[in-house]
Amino acid sequence: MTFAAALVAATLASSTTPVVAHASSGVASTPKSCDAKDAEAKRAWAAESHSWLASQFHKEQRDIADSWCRMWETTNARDRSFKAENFGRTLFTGEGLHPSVASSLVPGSGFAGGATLGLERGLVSRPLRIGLSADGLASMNGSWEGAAAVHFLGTAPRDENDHMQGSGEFVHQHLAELSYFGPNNDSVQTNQTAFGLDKTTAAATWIVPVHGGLRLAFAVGGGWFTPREAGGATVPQAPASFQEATTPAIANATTYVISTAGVVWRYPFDATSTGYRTGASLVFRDFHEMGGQPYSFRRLDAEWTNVYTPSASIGTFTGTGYLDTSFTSGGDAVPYYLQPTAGGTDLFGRSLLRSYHDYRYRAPNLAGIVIEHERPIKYFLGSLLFADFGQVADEPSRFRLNAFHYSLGAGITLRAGNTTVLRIFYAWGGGEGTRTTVAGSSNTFGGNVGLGLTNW
Amino acid sequence: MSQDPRIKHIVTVMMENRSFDHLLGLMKAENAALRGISPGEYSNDTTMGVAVPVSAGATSQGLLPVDPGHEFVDVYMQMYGEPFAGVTTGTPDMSGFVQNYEQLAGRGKGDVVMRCFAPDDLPALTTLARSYAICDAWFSSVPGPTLPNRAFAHFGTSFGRLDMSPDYFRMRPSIYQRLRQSGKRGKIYYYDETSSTLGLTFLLSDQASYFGLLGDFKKACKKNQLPEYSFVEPNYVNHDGRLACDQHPDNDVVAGDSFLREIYDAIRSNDDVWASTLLLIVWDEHGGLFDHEVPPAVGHPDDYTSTTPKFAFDRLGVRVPAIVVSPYVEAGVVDHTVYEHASIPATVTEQFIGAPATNSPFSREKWASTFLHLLTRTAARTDDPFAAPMLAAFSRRRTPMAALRAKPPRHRPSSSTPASGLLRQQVKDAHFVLVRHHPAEATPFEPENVRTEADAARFLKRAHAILNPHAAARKSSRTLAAPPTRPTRRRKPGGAKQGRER
Repeated sequence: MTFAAALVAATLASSTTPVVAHASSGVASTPKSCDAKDAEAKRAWAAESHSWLASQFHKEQRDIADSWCRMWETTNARDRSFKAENFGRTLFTGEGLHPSVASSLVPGSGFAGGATLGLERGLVSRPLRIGLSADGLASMNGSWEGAAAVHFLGTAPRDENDHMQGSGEFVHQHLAELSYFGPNNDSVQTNQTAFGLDKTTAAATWIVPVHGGLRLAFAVGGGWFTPREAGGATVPQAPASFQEATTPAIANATTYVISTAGVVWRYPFDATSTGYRTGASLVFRDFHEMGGQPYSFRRLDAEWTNVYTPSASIGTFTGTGYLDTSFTSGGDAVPYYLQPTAGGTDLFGRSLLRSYHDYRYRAPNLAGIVIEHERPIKYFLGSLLFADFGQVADEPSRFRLNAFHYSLGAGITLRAGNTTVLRIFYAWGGGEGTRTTVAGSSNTFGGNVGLGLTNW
Repeated sequence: MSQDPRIKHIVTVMMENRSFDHLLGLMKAENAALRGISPGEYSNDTTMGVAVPVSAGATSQGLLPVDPGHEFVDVYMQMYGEPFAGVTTGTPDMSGFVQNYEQLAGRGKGDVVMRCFAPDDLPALTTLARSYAICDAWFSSVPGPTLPNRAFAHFGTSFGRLDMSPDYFRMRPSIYQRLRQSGKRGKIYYYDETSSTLGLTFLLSDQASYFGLLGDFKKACKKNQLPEYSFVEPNYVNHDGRLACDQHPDNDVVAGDSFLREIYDAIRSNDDVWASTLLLIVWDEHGGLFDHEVPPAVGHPDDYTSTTPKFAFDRLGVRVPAIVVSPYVEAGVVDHTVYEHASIPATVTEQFIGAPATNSPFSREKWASTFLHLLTRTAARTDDPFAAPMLAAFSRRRTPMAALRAKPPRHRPSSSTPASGLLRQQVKDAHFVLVRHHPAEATPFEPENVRTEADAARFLKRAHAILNPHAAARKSSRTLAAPPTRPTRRRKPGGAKQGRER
């Protein structure tokens, strides 16, 4: 049982006892009201001194217990629905330790659940905020993840609300089964194989705002990658079908020191919902293999997004271009499990060729274009049309205009606050079947535009 | 008061969770008319019975690592000094803030909720407060958390809700829908998609007409395309290098101060917009931080009541800061009118739809005070309160506190320099208002005889003494030790539960 589950169980146990039985008399007393329980717990906490952390967890536990109690205390069904929502909000959000659910840990891993921790403090003596986050998630196909990070956010006054960010991150992922169809752009769907991968990465990142939405970014860290057999796979194991010559590091673990530098820019600086917006990023990474194996390489990832909303009734047109290029020297090669992928959604959440199987095409170089049109239809519903074009290549010089695979798609969106919050779409094209997908918002401008500093 | 034809736009900026005394209370030192505080004037007892005086020393962040309580039961204890026992009785005495915080953060940690900001630590807020009107009797609508209080700002009621569920799906009509029915526009501008909006559950239809982002607001200001009513939301979450600027504990308060300046600057970016806009800056609730003013009972309770916790919406919540900014508001005004958040839709209704008593759908809004009466000036002000030489020397967010405290070099009016066109216009404006509001006293004033800077200075000083006698008196008696205006519940040495109003 996770700590979060234990916390919830203890909370529920402490707040649902309907009647207090007095052992001495055997007479049942009236149940305490939620107000009385809340007051009693708080009074007890005030009697002693506590650390900030202990108080934070205690407050969270009290809030969960209190919202649960009030949900059952009310007799009005509608009021109970509000209080049930309030309980859900208290249980799943806010600072502290919470249960966590996700539609998948990585694409194809199935539903995932676990616990997540989030804490933050602003320093009095320095213009800095420090956050701690950690999570433990397990998914239905046996994959799991443990991650912890310390985040820093500068609060020194600046002309724009854009501040220095830093982090120290540690992530370990045990990915039970990932698909591999063979190298390059002409791989065949029927050659599907599977492999497992253990990934451990540790990194320090630093993002420096310059001006007007322009930022410089740096990261340095280490990565440990160990390919394994896919447990319980219904397709052949990758090493049984492919050899080192076409699939570098097919059975080899690698250890890297990874240095990253990037630049990212968005326009306009303040978020807008109409007119023209754009964002671009350019990230260079040096992967230096530490074990002396011939797998050192460099990668340059570029992304450019253009968004145009002429009017609400016409809707929003979005065009995004991706170009990932890898460079090697002295006979080195890029391990297949570190190559970018096109098809469905990749390990880092990028969707390209959405009618295809996840990770369908894999090679050291990737080019992709995504064009979308979204518009409100009525009430909270909107429509979505898209076209994806993507190809991979073993050398950047081998990209060809006529080598792009494509997916087309249509769907509906759920909108709130004039923003898409959920997309349900059907994708087809390319002769490899169709896919229906439910996905959250693809909000391009909410985060660091495609920066992916630690997308290793 | 009826609508003001000069006002084409009303803009509300609603910040998060800070009390009046916490942000503005210490401005009493420079304006005795303000119902603020002096350090040590009030106290709350700890759980152990030790008095904690109200004091300066609030910090921008790190002061409140555990979020102070602001659920209904917490606010009840803060106001009444004792836990909620199922029914509201008696009169609040504002004595339970420290103990309530100790109940969340532990023994000995409660003093932080008594700390207040020195005015110079929040340069944008205090500059606006000095330059326009402070409402020192604006109370949150509900002694409770964010969402029901914001519901009062959007609807004029919380529909009997005290909870923090975001579900307001079936609730209507909001002020935005009412404006639309009247052929007007009302819009919520939120910071960005990650910060999102607290209004997204009740405006699902025609969302494009009801929502915009911060950049859209600034663009609309610049192009003079603001809707009749705008509700601006700050950034609620630290994300992507952007600081939360809502001032919710323990978010960075100075970031929120900069945000207020940003909104003010956006409105000032277009002279036509400035000349036709009324800006209200207000906080949704006090966030568990001390305020000494007892929230009044409501003469006309809401149409709804809450059953759990039992509450009839017959008393307002804790006082929050509120500033009314407009070119038609005199500098340094302190307005003691009792307002609550239902005053927001009431004012918007009064200005753009019709009398709230007949056009507002909910009881509290029908009876809420409106703030159009603060627009007392006839001519629009064009002065820029941030344009003092020392302030202009620095970028606004890089302004060191010490520089802000420094007084700009004084310009002495000359008897040989002709009065500028702007100065002569100010003289004409002042004379116009004198004639309108004080016709008997306006007779000896002869604006046509004003020729030099010194003439204009004398004229404006005399006119100002008539138009704003409180400010003039205050200025002349600033060196005197003015007696406290509100001696009740003043701190006594070692006093426990001072001056309960029972």
